[in-house]
Amino acid sequence: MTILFVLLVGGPLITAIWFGLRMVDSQAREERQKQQQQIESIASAEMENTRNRINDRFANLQRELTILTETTLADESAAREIPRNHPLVRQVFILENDGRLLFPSGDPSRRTAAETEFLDRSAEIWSSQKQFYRSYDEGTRVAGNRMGWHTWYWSEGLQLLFWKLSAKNGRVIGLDIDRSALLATLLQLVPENTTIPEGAVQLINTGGTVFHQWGSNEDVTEQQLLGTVDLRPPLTSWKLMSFAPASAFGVGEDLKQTAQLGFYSTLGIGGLLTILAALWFYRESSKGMREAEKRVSFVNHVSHEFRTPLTNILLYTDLAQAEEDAGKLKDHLSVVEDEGRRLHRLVDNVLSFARSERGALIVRKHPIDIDNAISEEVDAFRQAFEEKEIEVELQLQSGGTALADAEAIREITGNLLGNVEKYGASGRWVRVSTDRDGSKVTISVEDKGPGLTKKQARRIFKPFYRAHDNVTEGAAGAGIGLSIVQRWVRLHGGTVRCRPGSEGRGIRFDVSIEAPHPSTRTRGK
Amino acid sequence: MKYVVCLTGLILTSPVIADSVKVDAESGHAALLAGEKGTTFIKVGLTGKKWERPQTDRAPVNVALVLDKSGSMSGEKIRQAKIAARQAIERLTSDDIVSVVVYDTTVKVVVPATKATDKATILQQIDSIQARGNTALFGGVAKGAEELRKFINRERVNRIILLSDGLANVGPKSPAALGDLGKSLAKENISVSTIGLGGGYNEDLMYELANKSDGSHHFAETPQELAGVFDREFGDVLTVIAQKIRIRILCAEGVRPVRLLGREGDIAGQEVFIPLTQIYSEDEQYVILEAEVAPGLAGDRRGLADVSVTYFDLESQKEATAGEALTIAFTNSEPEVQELANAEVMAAGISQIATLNNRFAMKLRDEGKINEAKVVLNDNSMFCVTAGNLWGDQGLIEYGAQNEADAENLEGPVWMIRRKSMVEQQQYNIRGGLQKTGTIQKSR
Repeated sequence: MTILFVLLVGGPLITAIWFGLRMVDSQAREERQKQQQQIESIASAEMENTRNRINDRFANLQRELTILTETTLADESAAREIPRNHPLVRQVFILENDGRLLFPSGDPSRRTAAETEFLDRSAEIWSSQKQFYRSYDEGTRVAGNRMGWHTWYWSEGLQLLFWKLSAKNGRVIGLDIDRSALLATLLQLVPENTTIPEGAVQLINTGGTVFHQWGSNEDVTEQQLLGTVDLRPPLTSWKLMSFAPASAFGVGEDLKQTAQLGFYSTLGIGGLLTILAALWFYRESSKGMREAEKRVSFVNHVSHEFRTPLTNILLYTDLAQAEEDAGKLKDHLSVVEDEGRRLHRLVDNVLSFARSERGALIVRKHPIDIDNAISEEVDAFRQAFEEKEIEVELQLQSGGTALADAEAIREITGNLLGNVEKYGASGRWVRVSTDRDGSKVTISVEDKGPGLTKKQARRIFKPFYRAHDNVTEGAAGAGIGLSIVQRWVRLHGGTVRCRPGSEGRGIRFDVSIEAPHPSTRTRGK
Repeated sequence: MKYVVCLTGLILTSPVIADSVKVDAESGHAALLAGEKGTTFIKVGLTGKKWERPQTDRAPVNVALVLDKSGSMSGEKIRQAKIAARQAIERLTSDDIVSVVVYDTTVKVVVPATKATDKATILQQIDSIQARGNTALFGGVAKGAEELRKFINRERVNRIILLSDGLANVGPKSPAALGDLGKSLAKENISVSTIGLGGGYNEDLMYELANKSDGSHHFAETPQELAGVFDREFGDVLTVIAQKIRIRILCAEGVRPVRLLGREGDIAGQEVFIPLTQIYSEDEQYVILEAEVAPGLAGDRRGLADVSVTYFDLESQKEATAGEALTIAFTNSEPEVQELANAEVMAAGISQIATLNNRFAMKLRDEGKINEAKVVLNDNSMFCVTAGNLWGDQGLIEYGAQNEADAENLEGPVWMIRRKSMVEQQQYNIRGGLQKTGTIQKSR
């Protein structure tokens, strides 16, 4: 049963969880991917923007330098003046139309140290002018003049010069661009920040070292590369790289986590509820089953209980018929009487119980003498008590007539005494007492038997419950006695309590019921 | 012919006081020994005169503070730097323009170029600086220059003051690259003064950047010294009286310009060109050219060189020129050569040579040649002391003592600190410090 239940509930539940998880996961992954693409395209756009700004600056610079090279540069001092004034120009050179270097001078004594340094640095241009002339074709043409940029490499890295070929005289004027100054100019064009949160952008030189970084000042080696953008000619060997830390994609992560959290908690609650419901139903159904089982065993038990006294009655009647001796005959008939009474009580209990279950147990109060009724009931047990050597003590002082249901009193007392006989006989003593407090009458039955544990005490009033079978060996009973007592007591508007007896031994039952004197009838009962 | 007439005309005039700058061109030797090749120093001294107008009417300044906020600056260093920066800014008036740039791995403009009117906000921004990260020194200077350019004009003094405690590790980091940047900025009339803090910065880089842009270089060994250094530097900035100085020396026939001592310039043929970025009021800057003179006859007097100087006068807000022509005579008498020598010029020239020697010794030590470096320094020490006594220059004598001390500090952990002191002193000497206040220790 249990296994079936687990499978029926657990199976679908687990399947649901699994599918749900997969859905959330793929959603999160999709979300992340989308976000990644978004961030990458933002980074790309930003870098391209910077690249375009740099390009525009270069276009401006080209115009500026074109104008600068308009001067005829009549002599060497004129050529030397340009780098002295222009922050970006380091050196000027002039090529004659036949490719001869006019300036700086070929004669070392006529050169400044800086000019000599320039020639050394740019040696590869002069050794192979073909490469330099190739730039001519890549250059642009403006108003008949051709101009462009030429790059080459030297120890620090990329070197750059601007050249203009004059259509007029075929001369080339070149301007060696100061690398540091150029870089400082470019740094003016890059933004201070990037829109990508915690992202960083770097400008990288030919050798791969970082020229400049903006945005976050974190170390980018731990971060993710979002994209690379090469600068346009003539700076193509420089590039921009955009980075972002993993946490920049945290939006997706957060979403995923929130979604997961939401999903799990819903699932969890739902599952919990389902399990709880299933458990409850299970309990209920098994309770029903248990109740049904109990009823079946009750019926079995009752039948057995009926049979025992009946068997005795038949047996002793038989013996009586065969008995010659008048004294023995009387004894046999005594037994028959006892068993008859027991059977009577049992039938009463069962009928009362049945009526109670139907809701048909009704209290009918008449003016009766409670003490008398109890005393009669005690008498009915005398024979049985004598046989078991149980001493009987009576303290009946409920004081005369009271409004009560005689049947109820009888059954209450009968069941309590019956329990003493069955379970408390080892104490060899029982006391039945009544007491009155205003309109309340308390009937107490106390013995010195084995008593009950707290746990047992709690359950004894439940129908079909018997404290333990090993204690009650040989005891007759179906386990509904105290249940009857409780139901009568409730209908009387009273209480029944169970305590350990005085001196700590045995049990004492105290039954309190509403049984006012007829003259002190209270309104509304 | 035209040339000779010009020269003759100029010979008869005394040094011309042209507005704010007094130009003094002199030869180390008034006369050389006849019949043999001789050398002499040609010194062109520029002295800023006292401001006529009261201090508050000085030229407005356009200053960019570029501060290192890399991780190594955290703690006491950045605290003192902020204090020093605050103090400096307090001295500005509402006509001045200030910007603050900080750099670590990235460069951020903390205070964009703005008039120094709302000092409270500026100071607040400085207070909020937190130190962490690497050192993008080049980027910091570039951004500082960018801020300066917003308000740049030649009527203002344009200065970047750079503070660093460490090695540049983002962007160009070689002394040459920074030197080139400095030179380029000088063309725009911007000079960079560099302040190195502690024992971990690259003094060569800081030196080149300052030297090539005609700024000053300071070494602050402890953070507590920063306030004083900033103060001195700002003091200089506020007294600039002339900018964009161009010195041209045209050597006469028979005179060969050999080398410039200390300063950088172009020597091409007979022409020498030296740019300076600024002259301070009541302060002398000079350049020394070593020239080789062809043999002459006793009793002759020949032209030595033509000196012309152009600059922008901040007091009159106009361009000004000054010029002088120098001649040289020949004698057979050695004692006369000695007698007629110009002590000041000789001392100045020797100071520059001694400084070059000190730099050479430093390079030897860098290459691990400790003993050779020691020898050079000790020789230099003797050289300085002897010359100092001969020409009556106290500064030279002190520098001699310093060289001797330098020789003893070439090894061990003390060398890194010593080297920074040496570089600071060298830059100071190049700017004529020895002739003014002697060695730095004394001037502190």
